[in-house]
This record gives sequence, structure tokens and C-alpha cells, in this order.
Amino acid sequence: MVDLSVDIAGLKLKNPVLVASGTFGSGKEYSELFDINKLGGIITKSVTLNERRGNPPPRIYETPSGMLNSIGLQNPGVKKFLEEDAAYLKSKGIPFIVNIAGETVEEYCEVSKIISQDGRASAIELNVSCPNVAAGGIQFGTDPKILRTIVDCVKNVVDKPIIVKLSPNVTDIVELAKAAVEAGADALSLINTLIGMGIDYKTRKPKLAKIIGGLSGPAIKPVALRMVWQVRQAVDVPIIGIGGIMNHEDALEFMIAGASAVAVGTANFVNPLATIETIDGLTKYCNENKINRLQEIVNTLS
Amino acid sequence: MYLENCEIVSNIRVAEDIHKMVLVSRRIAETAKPGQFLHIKVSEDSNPLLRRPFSAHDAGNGFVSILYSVRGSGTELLSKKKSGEYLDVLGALGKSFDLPSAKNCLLIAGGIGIAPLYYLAKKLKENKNNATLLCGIRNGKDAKITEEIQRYCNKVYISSEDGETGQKGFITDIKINYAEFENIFVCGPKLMIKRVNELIRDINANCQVSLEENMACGIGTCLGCVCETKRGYERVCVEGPVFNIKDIKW
Repeated sequence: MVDLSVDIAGLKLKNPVLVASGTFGSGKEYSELFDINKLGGIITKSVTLNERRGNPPPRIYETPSGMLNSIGLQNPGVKKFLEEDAAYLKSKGIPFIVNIAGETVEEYCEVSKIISQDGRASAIELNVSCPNVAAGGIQFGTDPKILRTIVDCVKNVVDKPIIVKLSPNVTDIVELAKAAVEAGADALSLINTLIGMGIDYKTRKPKLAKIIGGLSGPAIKPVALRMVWQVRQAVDVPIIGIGGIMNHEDALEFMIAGASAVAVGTANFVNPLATIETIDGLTKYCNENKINRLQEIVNTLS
Repeated sequence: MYLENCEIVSNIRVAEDIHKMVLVSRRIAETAKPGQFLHIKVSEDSNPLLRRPFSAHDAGNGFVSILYSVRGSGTELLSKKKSGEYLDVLGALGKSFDLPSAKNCLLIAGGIGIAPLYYLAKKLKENKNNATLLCGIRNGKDAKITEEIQRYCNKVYISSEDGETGQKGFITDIKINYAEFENIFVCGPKLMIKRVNELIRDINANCQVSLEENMACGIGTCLGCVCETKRGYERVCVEGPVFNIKDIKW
């Protein structure tokens, strides 16, 4: 019997396969296609203090082996989220991590506090790296001092594990990783999307209404892998690897690079069963290679 | 909604760059309603990455079909698929047309917009409605796409931009009395929909429009395919593709 379980800073998951923020809703839709209780956990869409409308369309654009998105953090606000999404997730009994975004340090703290006090979430993921917000987002995750301030502030008001989701749009992600950990982050998740753009040469207009957006999908996997590996060598906290994971082979690569768990995002749009196939693939891999505990392979790049 | 591996029965070019594909399907075919769409994986790998949405052109008796125009890499690939090959299909998705019964209905199709209106026309006839069809095409080469639907319609008006078939000009140039119709159904280019909106401004009909938008997930989780309505940004894949024309913000 293969042991796929993993402990992420006290958060005990039955397998290391999660779904990435912004790609899975709260599970209602995908639950029509497979048993979402099989997932290791669900990371919810970014929640802000107040409702956000999001950006005007076009919000998405397909690129080679990837896609750009500029959704703009559309969400119903933390209060409505707790009333509806959190209730649904709790009723299903799946561990869920609430992703939190904000425009100010105070907002991050306030939303984190509300989520923590509510108690139903298993952990909090701080979205300090979303590149789609005009004010705030992009600065937090690119400046070690500001990042420290947020993590420090949130640490004081929550009693849940804090995961910091790092932005790849920086010169040295290790510097940011260290800052987050020194300020008290219990775990790190990386990477968020890479900032990109698309152009329509016939109309000479940008493909996205907000011009720039975040690139995700298989195209970014090499960058994500590299960053997971670099961060793993520099810090001790658990890492959740994100970036173009489509199948169990990709998941294994991230774990070998140093991730204890992975989050599958864009792949859900392409193959709704990608997460389940990944979990099954990991089990099969362990059986075939006589590995009793999947966590044995974490950080084993030779 | 269901995820089905569907065998291609046929994939035939019916007009200049317009193709019709028939797929074997059990559960999607049973549940698909006019106005809903199928989200189809067109490549075996990551290029192109995303599925492509196509309205249900027809469904029932163990088959679903789509009518599509070749516009880019995804549809180009789709046009090369052969009978006997399989496609990964997610469907049927989205909000369907509200079907009246025993009413005077007007169907307005702009080019490939005729795709969902064929299935609709079939169901309207089953429900004992009287359907009038306005169908605008680019030129005579597209005329084939207007043929089959005519058997479900009492009156048919065709227009083509070059005048080769029917009246010359746009379908919205055709003089009819919109006020005669209690239900209007529209599908086609945005400019056409806008023009229809102006033409029916003062009449009381229930006018439903099928919109399209580039999609990623197709099921409402990514929030990528929104359009603006009176209620804010709504998802074309869940709150749509069918919207009340008066709710759309231009």
C-alpha cells in the first residue's frame, strides 16, 4: 500500500496533488466530472475584502503551449465566500486553502484574520504575486521588505499555516523566498504566472483588454522547475510546486526538484481529469519502483 | 455535463471554409439542448492547448453534430480529422434557449451563426411553433448551409453580401415586420446583433441571443469568457451563451 501522504507545515494531506488558485472554482463544477474528495486539497480563487468585478474582456488569450489571463481577481468578497464557497467545501470534507489578495498590507491582514477566525479553512495562501492588479499586487511580491511586512502582519493575526505564493517576475526569487521564511512563512508555493502579452498584428491592438496578463501552462514549466529547485536549496520550509503540471511525470519532476506537493492549474481546463490521473500515476510509479512513501523522492536531484 | 470520447462519423466540408462534423455520443446527445455547446479538445498534445467551444448544431439518437468555420489553428486541425478518429468532448454546456410553444418565432442567423439555430428550429417545430428564418451569408458559396434548416421553417429570407443568393446586402436590411413575432432568436456577428437590437428597440418580443467568446475551462471556473450585461460581468459559458438581448451592455 503506497503512502502518498504529505505534511505541509502541519497541514496533513492524503496525497500531494492540489488544484491551483483560480482554476477550479470551489469544486462544484468539477465535482460533476469526478470525485473531488480524491484530491489532496483545493486552493480557492483569490479572495479580497470586498467584491471585485474583475477586468473587462478579453481576459484570456491562448499562446504556444500556454495561455495568458488577466481576470483581475474577480471574486465575491470574503464575506460571501465564507457564506457560500467555504460552506460547500466544508460540507464535502476536503482540505481547502484560501488564497488571499489585497491592495494594502492592512487588507491582507484583515482578510486573513477573518478567514482564520472563521476556522473552516485548513491554511491560508498569500497571493502577493498576482500581476493583474493595478495597485498593490505587483509590488508586494517583488520587494523583500514589503513582503516581510505582510507576512509579519498576517502571522500575528492568524493561527493557521501561512503559505506564501511567490512571483517569478523578480530578479532573484531566492531573495524573496528567504524574506518570506524569515518573516514566518510556514510554506511556500511557486510559481505564480509570468507576466506576458499578446498582440493582434492585423488590428495592431493587444489581445487582452488590460494589455498584459499572466502566462501559465506547459510553456512555463522549465522556469517553475528551476525556481523550485533554487528555492529548495536555500530554505527549509515545504514547497508546493506550480507551473504547467499536466500529468504525473511533471509532478514527479517538481518533487525531485524539491516540492513536497504540487498544484495543478491550467491542466484542468485541458483535461478535467488531469488531477485524478496524476494521483493514479504517482501511485503506479511508486508501485513500479518499489517506493513505499512518495515523500522519499522529494529533493532527490542527483 | 459529461466527458465523452466520441467517434467521428463524418467530417465534411459544406461550404468555402465551413465544415460539418457528426459524432457518436450517448449521454451528451441525450442531454444537449438548443443553445448549449460542446467543448472539444482538438489536439493530442499541448498545441493548441485549449479546447474549442462549438454550439450543438444537432443532437439526438446517439449523435451530436457541430457546424464550424475554419478560423485558426484549432479549427484547422479539426477540419483534418477523419471518420473513425476520436475526439474528447465535454458537454453539453451553458444556458440553452428558452423554448416557447405555439408562437410566432423569428430566427436571425448571420453566417456560421446558423449553427445553433438549426437544432433550435427543429425543436421549435416539434413544439408547434411557426418559424420564420432570416439568414445572411457572405456569398453564393455559403448557400449550402442554409438548406437543411428550411424544412423546419415556414418562411425563409436569405441575403448575401454579393447578391449571388437572395437579396443583396445584410440580413438586417430585409424589410419584415419584427412586431409580428413574440419570440426572436439571434446568432451571428456582434455587429449584426447590435443592429438587430436597434431594430427591435420598440417592440415587445422576447429576444434571445447566442454569444460566443474565447474560452479556457468552459464550465465557469476560470472567469475568462465574460461579457458585460446589466448584472455585471457574466460568463458566456454558464450564464450564457444564451442571453436576453436587452441585458447586453454594448
